Amino acid sequence: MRAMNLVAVAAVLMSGLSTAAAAAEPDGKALYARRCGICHFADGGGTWMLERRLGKSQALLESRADLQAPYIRLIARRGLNGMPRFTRVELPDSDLEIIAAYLTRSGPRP
Amino acid sequence: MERVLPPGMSAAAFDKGLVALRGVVGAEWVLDSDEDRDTYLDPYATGNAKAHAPSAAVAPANLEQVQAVMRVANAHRLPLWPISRGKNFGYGGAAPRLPGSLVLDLGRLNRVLEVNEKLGYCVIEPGVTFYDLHEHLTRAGIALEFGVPNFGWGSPVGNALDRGFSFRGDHSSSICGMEVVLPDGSVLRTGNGAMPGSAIWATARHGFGPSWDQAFVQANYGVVTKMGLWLHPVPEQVISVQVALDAQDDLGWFVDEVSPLLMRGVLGGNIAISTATNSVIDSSQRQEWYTGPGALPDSVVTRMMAERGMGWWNGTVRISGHEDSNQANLNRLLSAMGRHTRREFQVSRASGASQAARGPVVTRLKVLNWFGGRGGHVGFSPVMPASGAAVLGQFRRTKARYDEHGIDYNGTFYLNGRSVTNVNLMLINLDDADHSARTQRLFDVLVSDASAQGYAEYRTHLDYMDAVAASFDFNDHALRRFNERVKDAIDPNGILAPGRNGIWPSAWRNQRGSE
Ligand SMILES: Cc1cc2nc3c(=O)[nH]c(=O)nc-3n(C[C@H](O)[C@H](O)[C@H](O)COP(=O)(O)OP(=O)(O)OC[C@H]3O[C@@H](n4cnc5c(N)ncnc54)[C@H](O)[C@@H]3O)c2cc1C
Ligand code: HEC
Repeated sequence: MRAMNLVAVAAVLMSGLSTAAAAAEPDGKALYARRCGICHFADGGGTWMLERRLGKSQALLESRADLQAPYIRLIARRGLNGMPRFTRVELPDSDLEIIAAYLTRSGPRP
Repeated sequence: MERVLPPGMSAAAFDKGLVALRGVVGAEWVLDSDEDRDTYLDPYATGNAKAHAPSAAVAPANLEQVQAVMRVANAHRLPLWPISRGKNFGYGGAAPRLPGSLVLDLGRLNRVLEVNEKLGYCVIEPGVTFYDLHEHLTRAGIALEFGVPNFGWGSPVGNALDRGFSFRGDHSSSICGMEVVLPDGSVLRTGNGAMPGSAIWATARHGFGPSWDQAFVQANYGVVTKMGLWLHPVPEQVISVQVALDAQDDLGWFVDEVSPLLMRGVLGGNIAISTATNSVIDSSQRQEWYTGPGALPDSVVTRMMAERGMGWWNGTVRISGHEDSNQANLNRLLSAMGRHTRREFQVSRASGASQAARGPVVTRLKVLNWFGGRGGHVGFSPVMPASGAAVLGQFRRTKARYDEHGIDYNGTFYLNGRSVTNVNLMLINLDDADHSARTQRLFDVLVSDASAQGYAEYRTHLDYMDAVAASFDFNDHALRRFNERVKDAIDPNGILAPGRNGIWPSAWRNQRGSE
């Protein structure tokens, strides 16, 4: 347990997040499901397109270990091909940080 | 994108307005960084995105703030463009008609205020999404549902205000009662809502005297802050008939046989019938089928039909209701179609509850990947009478125009009973300037072809609002002149959505037809 906590804290420090956001790790999963899951779960358009562009192993964002928070922030605000941009009303910075922390979390992937 | 100001406004005057808006909603909710502006651009624009560039966005939290924003806009002459969720993709997204307008983003007004299961309605705020409403109903175990467009990311309120539709039919016809902030900042309740404490605001459409709900649809007379919407009771059973018709001409008899069934209530909502390409474009990419020049040839479409077991025309006819009457209605449908074809259609039955549980989807957005790179799309959607000959003529003319311009034809005909709405999708390769230019030329010629037939569009992209409005020109544009007299009377400073649906306030009338 202790080791897990330390890893979590280290991840927080590295990504420059507030501990409040990190403490809400379960929220990260829920927020991700709500804002991104509609396209990035198994049968979504994002997954479908990423599989075509990057191959099956890179298709499910939630299963990837190579994503970096700045890249996630950039794509969310600038969009990418078929992915539309998110406004800060729909996805406030604080929510985006929680999602980025979730996608860059340490530990096993589904 | 760098800041684009309302035409003729100085940066100093605009900045003063922003300061006042920050005073109303808090600095955090006036969004005016370059990145913020970009998030409100039309992502799929074929033309110059700057033509509809917002100067900033302002996001009030409640009714009082919406009123205060309107007053600031009047004092500082700031044009506002209201959106509920701003997912009006294909028609301009969140972007305003007049460049330099501020987007009035209502996403923070997102409460489901009331759902009445017994009487089948809800009262919701504009920021409630189709997903939010679905979740609310599911969680509370309420056996009601609302029609969801093919692309379910938007909001019931924004969608109804642009006359969106689903297989449930026209969503604006579900509106029953609204709360509206007028351009001067005052609040109006329509219909029975005008009686304080009305017990029937969202159940009985008309109050006393003129009925104003529809005057706020596809218009710029007010900002809707609450809307009553009729919901559909979840039916006992849904029968789905997978219709596939082999020949292009089959569309004619299909329209003539099915429309009377809609008019008599044997079938409900509307019935969509689409080209085979319609399901190919959201499940594969163009290069998998064709890499040659010009539009997809008919021979490739024939190969799609063979490989996927489809007809030239395909659609799902839903029969919803009680099991016994569904079976009788199914028999009527099958015998009507049996007069023209020997094909056996696949029939499946499901409980209404299992269909309702599915909820909204956004997978349709996959069509944007048709070309592989940056994809865009616009739709051209004229309405014609429900006659097989009229519909076939429209199909033939339109397809010939697509072929002529080298654009892949993709058409859906929605049978409404007395009329048919023909949505023609144009997928655009935004990485290819020539393809975008050809699409624009195609759109222009389709507008004039349709108006020569007396067919108008039910809804259109920002770029075409003036052109479509101009085609409603009986008695020297009497309707447009009337719309604009109303506009000037209630919005003398022209602050609310100038140019929406071709309605220009006098303050901005010189912008009509501007790019
Ligand atoms: C692939 C694809 C498929 C689609 N399929 C369908 C479909 O089947 N049916 C369909 O109807 N649409 C369809 N659309 C179009 C669009 O996505 C939906 O209509 C969507 O619901 C509109 O976005 P919205 O609900 O966020 O409305 P908004 O963008 O918020 O609103 C639309 C317009 O209404 C006005 N408005 C909005 N809110 C207010 C308010 N509170 N007060 C005053 N004026 C307001 C504004 O002018 C605004 O521009 C499709 C789009 C795509 C990309
Ligand atoms: C409406 C659909 C949709 C939604 C919602 C959506 N995305 Fe995407 N996303 C896509 C598509 C489509 C792509 C693939 C674009 C391409 O490669 O052409 C994508 C790609 C990405 C990528 C790029 C991955 C890579 O390796 O290049 C990231 C990161 C991403 N999305 C993050 C998010 C996050 C975070 C959210 C939620 C805040 C989100 N997306 C919501 C459709 C969506």
